[in-house]
Amino acid sequence: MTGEQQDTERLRTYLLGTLPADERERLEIELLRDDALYEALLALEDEAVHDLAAGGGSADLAPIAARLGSTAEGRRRLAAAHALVGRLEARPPARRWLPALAAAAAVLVLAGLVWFLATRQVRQHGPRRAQEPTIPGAVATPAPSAALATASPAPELVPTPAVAPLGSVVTLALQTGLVRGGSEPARISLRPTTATVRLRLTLPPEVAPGATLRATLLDADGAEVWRSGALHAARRELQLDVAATELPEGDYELALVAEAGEQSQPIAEYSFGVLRER
Amino acid sequence: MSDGEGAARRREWTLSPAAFDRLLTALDADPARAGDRYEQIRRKLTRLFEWRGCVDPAELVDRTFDRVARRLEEGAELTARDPYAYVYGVAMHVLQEHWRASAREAQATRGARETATAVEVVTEGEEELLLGEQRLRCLERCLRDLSASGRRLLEAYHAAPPSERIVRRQALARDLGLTLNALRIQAFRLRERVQGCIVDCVGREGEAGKRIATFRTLEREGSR
Repeated sequence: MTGEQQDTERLRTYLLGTLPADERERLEIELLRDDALYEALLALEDEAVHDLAAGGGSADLAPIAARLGSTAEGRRRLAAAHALVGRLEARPPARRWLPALAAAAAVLVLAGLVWFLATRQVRQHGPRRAQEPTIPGAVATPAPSAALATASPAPELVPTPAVAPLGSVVTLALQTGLVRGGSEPARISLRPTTATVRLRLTLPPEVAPGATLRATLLDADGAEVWRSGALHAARRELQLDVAATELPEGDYELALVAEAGEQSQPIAEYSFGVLRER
Repeated sequence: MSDGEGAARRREWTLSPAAFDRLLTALDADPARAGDRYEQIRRKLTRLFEWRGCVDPAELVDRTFDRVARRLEEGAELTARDPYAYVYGVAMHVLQEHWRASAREAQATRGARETATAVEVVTEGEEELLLGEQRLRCLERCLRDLSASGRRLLEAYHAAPPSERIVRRQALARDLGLTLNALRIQAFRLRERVQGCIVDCVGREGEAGKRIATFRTLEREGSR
């Protein structure tokens, strides 16, 4: 491993919250002194944010996702990153300009058609602002591009086929006390376009700030369907993003454990069900 | 002075303009450079607290600087050449106090644990959605404002599917004759430029929107 790779690995470990305490302190003083190192850390973190926003990020990035999800600013940052990578991924590479030009012509025709239809729809029904919730208890939050697709009919807002709307995020907040065998668990209805199920968990009060937690999602048969990396509770709330593809229709139980050294202790269970719209 | 008196004095202490000037002078004898250094340490400390999981880092940074300024008033010395270790030490004390206070607060609310089954709906306000639309318009504009090479670099950097990200980025770095770290920083600076441009653009559009709304209100009032 080269010196640069070692530095990068150290910074990555720091961001994930797994650098030993004494090394962490040394690094933090270095970060205050060294602008280049500090910028390298910002760049690494920003890259992780954009990779998370693009989807399919490694489970190792879970602590970063949890930290972002715990503050309004973090969520705004993730949304901004989502919009940017969505737009960048949709752009055709510049070298393939000829097919792009042909596509642009088709896009113009289609855009005109979409604009015409959107204008007619708005005339008939008024503007739609957002996707409507599918069931009480869960609200589909359109991703920025999806919001674009359903918004104002002005020509410059009409999405081109090159900008495929990103899947929406459905958020479900669960509080402690949802226990097995208790009352009916919350059910969430997912559309085929739902990309992410965001679970916002209210943590039990005994969870110490900064505690290391791990979440495991089990299906009705008790089989593990998803597992988080190490999570750090910044507040009384934790946010987990699970790819909707991981959640076929059925009942689920999310088990949260606190980890200290090699020991882990169960601290909460949350139950919910998933329905699939066809 | 007893511990109790000391604690009372610490609680009563507030940052005066003179104490702030003393703090700046300790950071650098040149006032302009001292101001830059103060801002730079402030920015970095804010992120360090964030990375440590603090929800309100700005408050902890204020407390850190207040305490450094108070200690300077009490006779402590800061080495202008390297004030970082000292400031960092104070920041870590502030952080530990913060964690202890949070733990006490958690202990106090332990009895109030809810047992009822409850599902909360999280909604996104219409205003937030509209802002999203505005941001997307600005994003388009800001991407257009980037140089062609900058746009190409960002597109190539983010084009790879997750499983190929590392390999593709390494190949891109090789093609450009850069180390992976240098490429990462270039991509970061470009994204920062775009995001900064979006913030400015949204601000400008917001101001324009307010002016239009004011004009329409005046127009309506005039027509009555």
